[in-house]
Amino acid sequence: MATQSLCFGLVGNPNAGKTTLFNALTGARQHVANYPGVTVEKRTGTITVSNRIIEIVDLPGAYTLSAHSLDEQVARDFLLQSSPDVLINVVDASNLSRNLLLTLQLLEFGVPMVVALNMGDLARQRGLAINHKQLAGELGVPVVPVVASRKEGVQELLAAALKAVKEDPPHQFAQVQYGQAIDSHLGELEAIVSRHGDLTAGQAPARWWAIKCLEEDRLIMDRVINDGAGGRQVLEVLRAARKQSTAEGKPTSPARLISQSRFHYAEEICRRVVNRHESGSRRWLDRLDHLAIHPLTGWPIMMMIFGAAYVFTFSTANGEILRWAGITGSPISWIESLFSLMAQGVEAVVPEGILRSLLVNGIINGVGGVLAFVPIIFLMFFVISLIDDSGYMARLAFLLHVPLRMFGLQGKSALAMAVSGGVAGGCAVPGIMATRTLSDPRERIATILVCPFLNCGAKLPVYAMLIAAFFQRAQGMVMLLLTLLSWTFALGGAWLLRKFVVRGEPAPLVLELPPYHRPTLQGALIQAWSRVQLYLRKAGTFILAASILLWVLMSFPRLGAQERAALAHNQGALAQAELAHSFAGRLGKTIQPITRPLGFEWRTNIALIGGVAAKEVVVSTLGTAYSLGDVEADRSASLSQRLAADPHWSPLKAFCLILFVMLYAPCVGTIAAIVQETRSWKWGVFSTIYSTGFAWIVAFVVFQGGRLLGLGG
Amino acid sequence: MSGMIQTIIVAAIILASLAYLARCGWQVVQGIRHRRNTACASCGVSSCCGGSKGQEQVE
Repeated sequence: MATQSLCFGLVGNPNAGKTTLFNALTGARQHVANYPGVTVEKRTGTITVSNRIIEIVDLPGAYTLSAHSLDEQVARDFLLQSSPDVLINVVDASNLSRNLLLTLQLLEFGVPMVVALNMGDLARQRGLAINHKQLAGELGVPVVPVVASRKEGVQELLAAALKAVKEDPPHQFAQVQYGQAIDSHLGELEAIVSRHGDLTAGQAPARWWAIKCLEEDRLIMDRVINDGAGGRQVLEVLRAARKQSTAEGKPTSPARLISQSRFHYAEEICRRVVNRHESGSRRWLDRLDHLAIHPLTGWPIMMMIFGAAYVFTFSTANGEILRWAGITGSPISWIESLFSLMAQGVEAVVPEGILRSLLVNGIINGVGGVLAFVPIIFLMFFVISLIDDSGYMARLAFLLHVPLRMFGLQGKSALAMAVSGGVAGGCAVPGIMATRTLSDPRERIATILVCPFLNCGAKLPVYAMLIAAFFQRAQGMVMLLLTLLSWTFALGGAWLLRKFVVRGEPAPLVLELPPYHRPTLQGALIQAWSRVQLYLRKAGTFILAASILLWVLMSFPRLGAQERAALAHNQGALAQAELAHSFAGRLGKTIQPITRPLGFEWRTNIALIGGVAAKEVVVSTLGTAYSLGDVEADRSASLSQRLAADPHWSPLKAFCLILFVMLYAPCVGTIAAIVQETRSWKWGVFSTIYSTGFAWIVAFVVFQGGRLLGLGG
Repeated sequence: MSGMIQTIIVAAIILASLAYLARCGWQVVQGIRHRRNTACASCGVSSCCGGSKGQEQVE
């Protein structure tokens, strides 16, 4: 029986491998990626070791304990308020000196600590040999080498952490000497803080508070200012410290002196414990990296990577690659044939009536239309996982930083936007959550509001269906164009927001470029399969329920007996009239004056209304609408084929619909995430109106411009 | 299959769908109110919690 409960906190720099270690320790399957800022919330997992229940807390990555952004604040609040029994500081061995800057700050907390020296394999590849025993001696805490991705050293780490709990008194931690000027003020402040216990509320040692006072940390200063006598004394010492702080004869701030001292101390430790020898592969990777982030070569490389990814995805899903192997058909056509067979089976068994209509028009043609794109979803996530794991995404953010700055954002916004679907197939909900890594609140709002413009996974089936119908010859290239357009619109939207709604200068970029990893086939397949499972689950639950509801709206009320009799001789016209008479048909026709200038007809309007629930519903609704209103159509024809054959449609109209779906109101889940993250309904409502207005203007300009240029209409 | 039986089956399917959609909507509202992430329940997104439930919780 478990007897004692303990709390271990996993702390470290972004992308140091905390979540991978968390997964290795707890057996969880949290999402990990090779770029910083994936974890923006704290997560807990529980394990039992030697009759002890241990709660493991995975904290968002932090470079400092000064809480510049929301995710860093989560990490610091945990340290201040949760009193963990042991801190496990996850350190990236391939980037030791930068990681040690946080380690030195954590030591000032005085909590028992163990350093997990992660990614030793990568450090070796980079020609770095770290003497972990010597490092332990330098820091005054145990250092355990681990390779979290292979679960190596995990048990040794747990044993060291358990031993650290027992040790009383704890280790003699290393202490940074900040120089005479700072240390004397530090002593004074420590004494004041110790005398005024209510200032610290028993959270963290007095020395930590004294250092934070000298760093003029926002949260600490708020407390100091509100604390009468103690606060006044602290402010007096701070004034004196500011006057006496100089570096190379020039005045500077105490905070700057403190960070410089930490930096020098970390560098000094590294000099003693790290042995460097240049390796050939390292030089080769450095050269490649230089090309990937260089403004001249970086952009063509990016276009080639994503162009190849999309061409591979579409040509495989459409069977072009299979044809080389002598296999006819395509994964998409096989699924469409399966649903066509199912429809025929239902028609053979269920007599004509509303049940058959629901099953065939509502469910099979609705949900089936969405499921037909499973191969594209799988392949897209497979190639994106390969890119993701390689470490290229952070380079993309770095490359995008300069153009993003021109539009009032910064490189870290690019990561949130990439998660949202900047490389096709993401989701705006985690993208919006990833904006917590942005320190400037106005920049964060602008990023949140344009994240839904990117091509999330839910929009993919809509694009794939329309591309297959109207742009069959260059499917991959059209997808690349849509990716570029989504970025262009997101940047344009951000520029407008930063110019008129959330004004301000963009913050500077501090972004870690993680080392390149060799992506594994197994890892990419697992990622892609897990996304397909989610897609299937969503299709089988939410989209199914929404399709049924939309079928009801498209089927009722029915035409009167007289009208039916009048049209009985023409089944096609009768079906069209039935659909037009339904609730959804009337709604679609009501908003036709608004959407007619964009080239949309009333059946498209119905699909667009349904798409607010989830973007895939656009496909299922069109499937149902074209099935209900077109009884004479070939039952085996796919939705793409039906639209391609419909005289109301043209490539220009299809392209305008793609643009509108790309930009109009976010889905309900995204609106909820916006409200949640901004803590304001105002931004949720604003996002819906702003996006829809933006989408209308873009679709209007493209449609009317296209007509003027004679591109159809 | 008579028209009446078809109507009953269709009504049951519609009611179940409505109940499911209402539950999703309620979870979204609850998520906003309690600042919990309900994206998994509302739109099937798993990136934020890895789709894994049980031993870890997202706060």
